[in-house]
Formats: sequence, C-alpha cells, structure tokens
Amino acid sequence: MSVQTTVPSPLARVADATPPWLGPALSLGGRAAGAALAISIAGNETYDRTQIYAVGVALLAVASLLIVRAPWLLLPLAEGAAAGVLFFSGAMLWSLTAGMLMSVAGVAALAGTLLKQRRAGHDPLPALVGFFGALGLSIAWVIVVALAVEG
Amino acid sequence: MMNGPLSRVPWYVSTAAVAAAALGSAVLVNVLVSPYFERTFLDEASPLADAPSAQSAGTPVTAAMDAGTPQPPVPTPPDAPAAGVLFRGEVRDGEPGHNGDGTALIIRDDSGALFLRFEEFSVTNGPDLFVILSTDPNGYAGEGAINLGGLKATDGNINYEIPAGVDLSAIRSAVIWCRAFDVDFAVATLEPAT
Repeated sequence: MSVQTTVPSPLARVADATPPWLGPALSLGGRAAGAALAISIAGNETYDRTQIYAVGVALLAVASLLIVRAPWLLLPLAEGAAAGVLFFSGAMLWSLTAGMLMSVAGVAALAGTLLKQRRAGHDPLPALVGFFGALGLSIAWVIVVALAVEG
Repeated sequence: MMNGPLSRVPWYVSTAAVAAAALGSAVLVNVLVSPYFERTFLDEASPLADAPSAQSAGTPVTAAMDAGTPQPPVPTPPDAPAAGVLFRGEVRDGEPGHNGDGTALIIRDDSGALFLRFEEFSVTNGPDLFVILSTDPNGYAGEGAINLGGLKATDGNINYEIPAGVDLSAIRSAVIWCRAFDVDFAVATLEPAT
C-alpha cells in the first residue's frame, strides 16, 4: 500500500506559520507605501510626463485602499491590479530610487494579498490576473500621458 | 479550500512561472518604456565658435554656447569653401505623442567638416533613437537616409558630425527616428540658409 503525500507550497507554509494580520498588513502597507512613493516622484521630478504619470499611479493605489468590501472575486482582483500597477510602473522608473522602491512595494502588496487569499482558503488566481493585467493598464496610462502631455 | 486551476499545477512550477513572467515583463517594460520618462542634457559649442572668417563674411553664425578663451584665427586654405550655415530648419513634432522643438542647422566649419547641429533642442525621449538625415522633407525615408548615430541627449545644443563625402543635395530633413518601432519622434525640414 502506498501513501501519497503532497508538499505544501511555500505560500501555504508561510500563511500557516505567520499571524493572520500579516497578509492584510502587507497588502495595505505595500499599496500605501507605493502611493506615497508615487506622490514623492510627482513632487520631486520636473518632467511633466513623469509627474502626471506618477499622480495617476498614486490615485489608482489610493483608490484600491478605499475598496474594503466587494464580491469575493473583485477584491483580490483590485488588490492584485494595484500591486501590479505599482510593480510595473516602478519598473518604468527604475532610474529613480523611488521607482525601484515602488516595485518592491508592489511585490509586498501582492505577497500580502496572496497570503490573505491563502488563509481564507481562496484561489490566488484572481489576484495574479489583476497583477499581470496591470501591465496592460500601466502601458495604457503611459500612452494616454504621451498623447495628452507635451514633452 | 483552494481548488482553482493553479492548485492542479505543482507549486514550484507555478511559483517559478509567475516569478519569471513578472520579472521578465518588468525588465522588458523598463527597457522599452523607461526612456519616455528620462531626460538628458548636453551643451556643445558650435563648430563655428572659432570661425571668424564666416562671421566677417556675413554668413549666419550660431553663437558658441560655452564662453571660452578667445582663440587665434585658424588659417583657411584659399580654395576651401567658406565656413557657415548651409541649411536650416525648425524642429517640429513627429508622430502623435512625440514632440520636438528647436532649430536644426547643417554647418561647415573652417576645416571643411560638416555637422548637423541642434540648438535649443528638445525631443521626447524613447528607446533606440537615432539622428537621421533624410531625403524626405517630412520624415524618415529609408532609401538614401544617412544615419548620424544614436541620439546624444534629449535637450540642449548638440552636434553630430556628418561623414565626409556625403552628398547634401538630396537631403531634405533631419529626423529623430526610433529604430525599434520605426517612429519619427521629431522632424526638421531643411532649407538652404540665406
């Protein structure tokens, strides 16, 4: 007789080994820190396009913080999307320290959302769909800024 | 409990795939999009800064941007063409979302060398940008175009040496062209300087 065992994923192990507040704290903290970094970029940079782009990123991140109650699929989707916007927008601004930190904040926010999902017994897929969907959102915002703002 | 599609994939595969996709996308975005948010400045002296013969001949001469020590006149061979501005054009926007400003000049210096010079120049930054002399007055035309090299800076007063032997009679414009996406970022239609 053979016994099948499955090795739990690192996410499951971390979720089981850490306090329940860690996921929500990382998710909220990452997005709040990312929004603050985006605002600092908007304040410190002189190039109009960078300023306006960063303001848009900050607004999206702040908007995601205001969503506290939503159907089960939409909340992780929105949180993942906000994390993705921070991560990919940060990647566009890696020439700035704040840009690199914004990417780190996006990763932290995604990790928090995934931990939260795992603890609640939900699939991480909606958060990941939101995260990678944010790549398109970020590029679309670049195009809007490029077309609307001379620079 | 979890029963989504990801739960059917071994965790080490899904984790590696997600990490690789995220990192790869971020690097790609950084390479292709980050230049749009970066500005670079360069302030080069005009090739005519040391060309008293051109100034005395009444040829339009651009001022040197760097105040330097006055230089003694450089002897010019008697049969050498006069130094001065040969062509001039105003830099304008390229394709939508790509802006340009300033003045483009084709200059011959005292030694007979030719330069494309941008003055009070500004252009939208982007990936893989090149400075082109084009036979089309309104942008990059592949055939007959002369590539003067990569864009040195997005803003300032900048010189690009034109290779010896180039026939300027067919040149109609100076273009800032993105090779990666085949997009004109800025164009200056060149007219003979009077």
